[in-house]
Amino acid sequence: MKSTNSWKLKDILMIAISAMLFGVVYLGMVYTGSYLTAILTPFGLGVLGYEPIYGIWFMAGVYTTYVIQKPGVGIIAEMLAALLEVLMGNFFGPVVFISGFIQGLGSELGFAVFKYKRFGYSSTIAAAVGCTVLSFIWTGFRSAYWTLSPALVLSIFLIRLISSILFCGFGCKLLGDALTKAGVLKAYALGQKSLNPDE
Amino acid sequence: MKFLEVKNLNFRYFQQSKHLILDNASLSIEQGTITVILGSSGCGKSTLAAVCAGLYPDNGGELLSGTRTIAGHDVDSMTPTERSRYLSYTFQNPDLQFCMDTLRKELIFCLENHNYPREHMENMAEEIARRFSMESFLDRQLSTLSGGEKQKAALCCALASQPRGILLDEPFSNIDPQTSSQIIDLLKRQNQEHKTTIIAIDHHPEHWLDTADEFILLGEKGCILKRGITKENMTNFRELFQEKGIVYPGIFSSFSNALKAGKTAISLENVSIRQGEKQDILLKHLSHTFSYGQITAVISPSGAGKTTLFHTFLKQKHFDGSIKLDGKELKKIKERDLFRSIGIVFQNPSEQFTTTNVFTEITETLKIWRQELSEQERQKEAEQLLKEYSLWSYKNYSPYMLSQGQQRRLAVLSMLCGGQKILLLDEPTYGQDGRSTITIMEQLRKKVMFENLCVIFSTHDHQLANAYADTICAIKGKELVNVKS
Amino acid sequence: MSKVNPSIKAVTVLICGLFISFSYSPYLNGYVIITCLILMAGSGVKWTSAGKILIPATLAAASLFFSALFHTNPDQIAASSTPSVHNAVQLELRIYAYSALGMLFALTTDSEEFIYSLMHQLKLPPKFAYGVLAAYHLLPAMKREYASVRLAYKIKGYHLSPFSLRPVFSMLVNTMHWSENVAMAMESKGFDGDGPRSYFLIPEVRWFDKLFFIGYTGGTAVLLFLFPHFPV
Repeated sequence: MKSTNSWKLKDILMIAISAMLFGVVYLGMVYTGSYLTAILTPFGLGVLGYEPIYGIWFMAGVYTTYVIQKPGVGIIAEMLAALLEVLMGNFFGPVVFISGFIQGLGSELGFAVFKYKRFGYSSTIAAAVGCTVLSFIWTGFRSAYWTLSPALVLSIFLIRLISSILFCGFGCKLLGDALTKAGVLKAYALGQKSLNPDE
Repeated sequence: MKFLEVKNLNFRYFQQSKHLILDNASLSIEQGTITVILGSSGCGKSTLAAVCAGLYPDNGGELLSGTRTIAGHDVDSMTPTERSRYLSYTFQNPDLQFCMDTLRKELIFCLENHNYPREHMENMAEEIARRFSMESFLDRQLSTLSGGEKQKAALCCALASQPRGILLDEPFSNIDPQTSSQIIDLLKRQNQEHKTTIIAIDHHPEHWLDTADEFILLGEKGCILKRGITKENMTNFRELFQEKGIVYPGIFSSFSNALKAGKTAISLENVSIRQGEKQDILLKHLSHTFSYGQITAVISPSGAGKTTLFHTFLKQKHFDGSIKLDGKELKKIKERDLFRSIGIVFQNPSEQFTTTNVFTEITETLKIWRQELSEQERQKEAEQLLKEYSLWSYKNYSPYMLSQGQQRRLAVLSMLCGGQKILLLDEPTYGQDGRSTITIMEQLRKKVMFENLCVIFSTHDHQLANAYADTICAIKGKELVNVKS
Repeated sequence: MSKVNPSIKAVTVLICGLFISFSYSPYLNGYVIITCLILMAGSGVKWTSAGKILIPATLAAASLFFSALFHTNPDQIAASSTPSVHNAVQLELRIYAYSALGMLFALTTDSEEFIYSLMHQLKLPPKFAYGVLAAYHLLPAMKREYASVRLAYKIKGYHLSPFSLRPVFSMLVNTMHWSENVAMAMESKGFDGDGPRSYFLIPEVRWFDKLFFIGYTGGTAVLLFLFPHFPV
């Protein structure tokens, strides 16, 4: 978050509001995740419970980058999302800043593969993969995945990857395109690309 | 001395767009006056105001040409902080004007923006609130205030910078007449005591009859059609007002013969409605019947519970007592069957669209409620309905890009196309001009006559209720009373 | 604890959280859990709200405990006699240590004070700080919006699965213009992210903030070096 000048208040608010929205959706989904975790725990598979919804965590970064199409948006979005999580009382506390930064970085890497020039399924899916890989390394480090059996760790990775690709790779792309069709993104890069000049 | 002077503004929202929102618009306002800007929906009045205040193009759009000065200073050369010392602003939607959660914090935020000395902030915030009798609201959550209270809170914030002028964008669109006149009195006092210039955008000149020095009527693309209109000469402009959909006394032509009540649609017997299972009672001892073949108006001050009443009919609120719909106990009707016979149009219809295309909005709804139709029949039916509601030419548009009036018509259509016979309309005048209101009310009246619907609408506009409703009831305190039947 | 500067507290909690990740010692985890509980008790935290946070934390801890119990990697922990139980206990304690730190922060910190402190101590630009505050305060409006969108779908006869993104989409459509409206409202009140502004509340760093930082991170670091591994 260095040069303030290049960031307009409006864009910051757009990122923050989207982050907030996805945060609330995630919190809603956490109930489902907890339920699943509770069922799986006696079988020793509880760690998989939250993995199917893990992709929602990454949505703020991927969605806002897809809409605004500027480098750095993903990291800012995930950091703001983390800050909002802390304000809402996330039980992991300020450590989620690091999670946010790492996830945002993952999303940036995905878009950077296409030099922030091509924005389509390939870039959102790359971002989804980036988020998964980096967040996997981070949570693996925090929960000492190396002490768990490789099969379980592999399932964690795969479920998270599928969730991330579904929610971010496809979900964010579809959301962005549908919003463009609805005509509410005209002020942003994504909406302007498909603008009909005679309207 | 000129307070505001803008000349030859050309403005568009999008660089790629050829369509100008302001086309060579000019406006000048004298220091210390109270001016009301009138115009039909979509004439560019809000945009003109935002461009004058410097909020556009900073926050969107492109200013192609034109000069803007406030109190002799070039708008472009000033920072937002400096601008707000000359001209501050209140917005139409009171929910989106605050960045803090209480009025005290919001006022302190405003004072901080102006580098106000820290040690005097608290006193100053309290003094501003006192001026508008808002002291008791200083520490209440802003989100729990009524529309009128929020608007007053917004005014307090607008005055925090001690500006030379205030611009109010449709301040009363969600406020009952008593509260509006209270706010106007406060503004008038501010104008007299501090020589604050006041510029308001409104559809209803009658709010301002005794207060405004001048009314300005805008034509198209932000250009002035007529200025120098005052209370005295207003009658000369009736036809012009009618053409532009400005709401003047008598614009809604009353129907001479009220429709006769048909069968009972909804009956209430000693109903009390609570917010949650164990929370306060919002409305109590309601006993009333709503009939088919009639339009009923529910008049209530803002925040008095009309939306609550409607949501109760939709089984979204807890209640005691008995509500019967077509003679059946509401508590026993399944939701899906309920929504087959009753529909609602929200105050803000853009919250109720479920697709991004006008045509599919209707065909999808037909698919849900009228499964007996084939794909082709559905398309045909949708075409016919859209033509009937004069929306056919917009069939490929996104519902969100329609005007407020068109959105409301589309919402009505999507609520009735499943064969629903009861329709609830929450504040059908909100955010649109008189012309759109007339179109929708007359259309509904025809439907009620020929298809025997039961239409219930809520409003704080007595004139509208008198003109279009066959029976009128009002929420007074926590009870529902008959006004005209 | 609520008197400790929020940024200092956040940084302390964050560093200790990292230490825990580096260690594999139940002593360190135990130390963190116990000291956090003592600090919380000392600052008069409501135990009911702590309990609310502990439910998901316990679920997470239990899930990791059983996962480790049944699925420990045999190559990594061969030296111990009952490897999987030890590993399970260690990982469970670690989750509790994380949540103890998180709770200590969440229950003794005022959200707004934290943002103000981020601005003053960690140089978060005001545009970001007030942007986040504004978004945070839009939560009630968002809830209301979500309720109407859900209601709209219901009335139209849609059946929505809990995983459906459709209401989220409708909400996004309606909230996309919020950013413009709120930004204009803030600027019309004279907000300028770069200009000079005064502050009503300026969180300061005082001696006991520094003491807390050095004491707590230092203590944790010492334990980390003394007992880096699981005692066999």
